[in-house]
Amino acid sequence: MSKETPPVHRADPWHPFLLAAGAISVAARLLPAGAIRDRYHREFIAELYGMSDPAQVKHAGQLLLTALPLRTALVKAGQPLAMDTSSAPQVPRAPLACRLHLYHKWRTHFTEDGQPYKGCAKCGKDSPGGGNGPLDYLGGADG
Amino acid sequence: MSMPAPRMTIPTQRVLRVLLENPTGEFYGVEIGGAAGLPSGTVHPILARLEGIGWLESRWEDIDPRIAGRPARRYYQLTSAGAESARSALARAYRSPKQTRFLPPLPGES
Repeated sequence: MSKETPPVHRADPWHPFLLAAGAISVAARLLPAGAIRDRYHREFIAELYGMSDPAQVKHAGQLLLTALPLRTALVKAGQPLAMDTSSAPQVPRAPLACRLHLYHKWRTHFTEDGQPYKGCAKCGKDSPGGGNGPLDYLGGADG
Repeated sequence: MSMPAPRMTIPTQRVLRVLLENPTGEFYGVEIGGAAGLPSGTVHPILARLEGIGWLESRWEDIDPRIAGRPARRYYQLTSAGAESARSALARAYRSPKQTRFLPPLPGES
């Protein structure tokens, strides 16, 4: 069986395969995060092999154009396709305010040996002791 | 129990027709698009909808990428219930003369 590995020219960033792979990475980023995204990224890259250079770029462009309809189809389906054991498990995302370090909902928790500590009730981050930053006036600590 | 049919757009009908030509066969996305006469990168939303309602199932190709020289592909196959539902849905699909103008004839049609 002849090998179908495309000749990737690492010195040429504009090589069609790299362009196509880049477009596919962008397309995959538009899909739900986690196992779904991993799966389709792998699937799209695998489809490039065996295609001519122009066909790879065209194919990747079409995948990019249909990424949002694909996302819609996956969301409507309730993402049952996420149950793919060959991909990384899906991790729930913290609220935006937590991820941007704008506001954490600090609450007092206790370790196994009964020591109190403050942690965010939303994302689990431990309090560094310095408050919430720009949105500190909103409070959030339970004192 | 019958599964809810997806919207039977022309591309969806084409994809189902390709899959029903070989109901037990396995195909990957580009293959399905090529056989259906659709742009190769446009079939994935259709396949995702069909997989979401249980008409299709998919799996990774069982190869060693190092030996094959390429990554494993994702193959799609009609489920047995999906094949039955697809046949019913295609039979019921409304096709106006304007819509059918560019469709290839069904098996048995001239």
